[in-house]
Amino acid sequence: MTTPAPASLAAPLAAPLAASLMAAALALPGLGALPARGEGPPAGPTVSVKYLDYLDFEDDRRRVRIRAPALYALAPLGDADALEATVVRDSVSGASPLPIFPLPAVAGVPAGPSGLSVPVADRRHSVDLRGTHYFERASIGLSGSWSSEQDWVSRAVGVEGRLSSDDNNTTLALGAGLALDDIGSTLDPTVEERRRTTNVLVGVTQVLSPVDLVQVNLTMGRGHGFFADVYRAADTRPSSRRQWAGLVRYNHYVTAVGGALHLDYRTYRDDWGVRAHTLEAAWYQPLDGGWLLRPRVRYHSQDAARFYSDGPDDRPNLDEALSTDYRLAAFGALGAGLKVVKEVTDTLSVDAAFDWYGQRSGWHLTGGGTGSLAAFDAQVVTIGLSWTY
Amino acid sequence: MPGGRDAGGDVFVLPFTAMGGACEIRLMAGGRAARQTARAAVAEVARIERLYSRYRPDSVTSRLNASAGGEAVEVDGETAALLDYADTCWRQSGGAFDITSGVLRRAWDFRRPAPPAPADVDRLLSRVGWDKVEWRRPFLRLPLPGMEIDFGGIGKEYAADRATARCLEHGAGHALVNLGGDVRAAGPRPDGSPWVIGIRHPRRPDGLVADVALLEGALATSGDYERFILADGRRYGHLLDPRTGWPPVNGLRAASVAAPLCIVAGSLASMAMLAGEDGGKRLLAESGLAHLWVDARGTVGGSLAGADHHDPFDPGET
Repeated sequence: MTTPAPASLAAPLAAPLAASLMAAALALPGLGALPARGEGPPAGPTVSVKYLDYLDFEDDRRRVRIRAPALYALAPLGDADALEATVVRDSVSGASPLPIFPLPAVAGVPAGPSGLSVPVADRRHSVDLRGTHYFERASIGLSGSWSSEQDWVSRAVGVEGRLSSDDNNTTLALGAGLALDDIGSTLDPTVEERRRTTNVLVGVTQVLSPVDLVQVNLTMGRGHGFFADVYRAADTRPSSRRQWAGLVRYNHYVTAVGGALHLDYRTYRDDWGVRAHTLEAAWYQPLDGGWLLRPRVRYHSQDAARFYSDGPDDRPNLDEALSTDYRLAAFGALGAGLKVVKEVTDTLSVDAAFDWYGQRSGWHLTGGGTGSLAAFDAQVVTIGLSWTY
Repeated sequence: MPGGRDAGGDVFVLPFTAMGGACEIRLMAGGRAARQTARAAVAEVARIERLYSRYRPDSVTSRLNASAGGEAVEVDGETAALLDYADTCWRQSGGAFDITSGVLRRAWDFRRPAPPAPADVDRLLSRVGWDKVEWRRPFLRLPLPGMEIDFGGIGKEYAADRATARCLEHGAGHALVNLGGDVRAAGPRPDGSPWVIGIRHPRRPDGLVADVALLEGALATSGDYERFILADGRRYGHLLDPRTGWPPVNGLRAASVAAPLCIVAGSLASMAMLAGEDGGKRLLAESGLAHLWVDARGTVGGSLAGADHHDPFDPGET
């Protein structure tokens, strides 16, 4: 006969002997809670190819399309080092040199080069390199990136360190970065502007139980130089920007279904007056036969910059800050997406994802964003192929 | 590597040998993720074996034992936590569970058909006793030459817990780690049903005393059927009482405990074996945990034995 053993991690142990042994055992590293992934280089090399197709609409009029093939490679070097490289080459085509919104994932965060105004057609190339050295309970990574398009060159370097506690349940991350941007204009060859941005990051990841994990990250950024949009007739912005961003993440693994919930809350503010809140929920569900489904939803709301204006330019002094860039307006945004991953063999997987993003002034938290803002929608299709030894 | 994938594609079993026994990682998952998870779990067991095996000259255990009679040695955080756990076991068992008792093996040779000379045992007893050890985290000093620490009583169970943590960390919520009969489950089977684990009969190597259904947590067994000496009509089991240097008189033949952690299940089972027959049964009953015992007469009892208390393989003995 088979007798059930009611042994549950959650069951209180009433008897003093068992309770004191249990208390002592929970002090052992990794037994009290699910240890965070131990530091160490990846086991084998990975190569993946992705193709991204981005299309956006303003008031249902098709506007800008970006096609971006990307190549990613990761190689462990010896027992304690790893090198990663990403190469992206994107091409932008559109109806007019209107500003395009950055890709949905970066709403509320300062736009990268391709998020700025774009001419009718452009190509961008970018290369990111990262080297990581692993110690027993720590790692240090150095990264460098370079990206170039006709009217913009960006260079960035960064350093990030991670330190785990003896039991691997607490991980501290510290990072710092520097970016230098050279900004030109395809319409005016005399434009030669620069911007310098620095940022620091502090993060803590804490394992709470075998199935619960919390992460808190704080990022501070400071930029000096040219921030305006060279393609806008009236666009004057302060020559500095201070930014603060916070992330709180909660991951919960549901043993009964073998899936995991990821909840993220992000808050952002800067000294231009932009305040933003973003909430995202994603579910990771592995299924039999090597499938993984990841549906996700996101809500974002932001306040306008102090100098955002959708009215006529009636500044007495043209040095006064003013912008009509709707990324600095007040609005709310919704996003939803589904990603499907299928392991074809032990070493090869394919993935496909569809994301939709919509932005309306009426979706602002208060219900009232910038009134004159056009409805903006974007869709992103990504397909990928990944090979891991 | 050994290990494979059955026709359904969603069971992955990786058998391996570690800590002197047959071991297995069983994952109700398939593909690359399962292979990597199992590999990580086996690597974790190997790591602990490397650190604490007394047979490896470069292990923490060997380093500590080489320092006996000399200066204190500073230990790492993981070793310190294990020593703290061993300290708790020693206190809670009234000194019966003692990681310094391994030195008694020099007198007890379980390949010989006779017990040792009492004088030999007595001589070794002077080097046994956790109370003689100076343990001030993170410094450990074995004050007498020839003293030894042995993590054998908790290392395998700790490895089972750590390997399970590795599985969970890799997202494997339906996994079973079996290290030579000490078992820990990471979640139930995918359909929510329990894992069924057979407990070996103490005297019939291929017979089972009971099947235990384990939804999560661990099941560990301590028995005297692995190593023993039969002499003068008496059976001397390999679990030695550090206070006397001899196996407990009239001890249980086997004890199994189900607990949230394998290390707790294993040390409780060992304590029951060291407490004598009545003491062992009482300790198990008072633990409040699901358990099973087999006594010297072959009677099977405890909450996991269910209503069927007699030994189905030895009906004449009860």
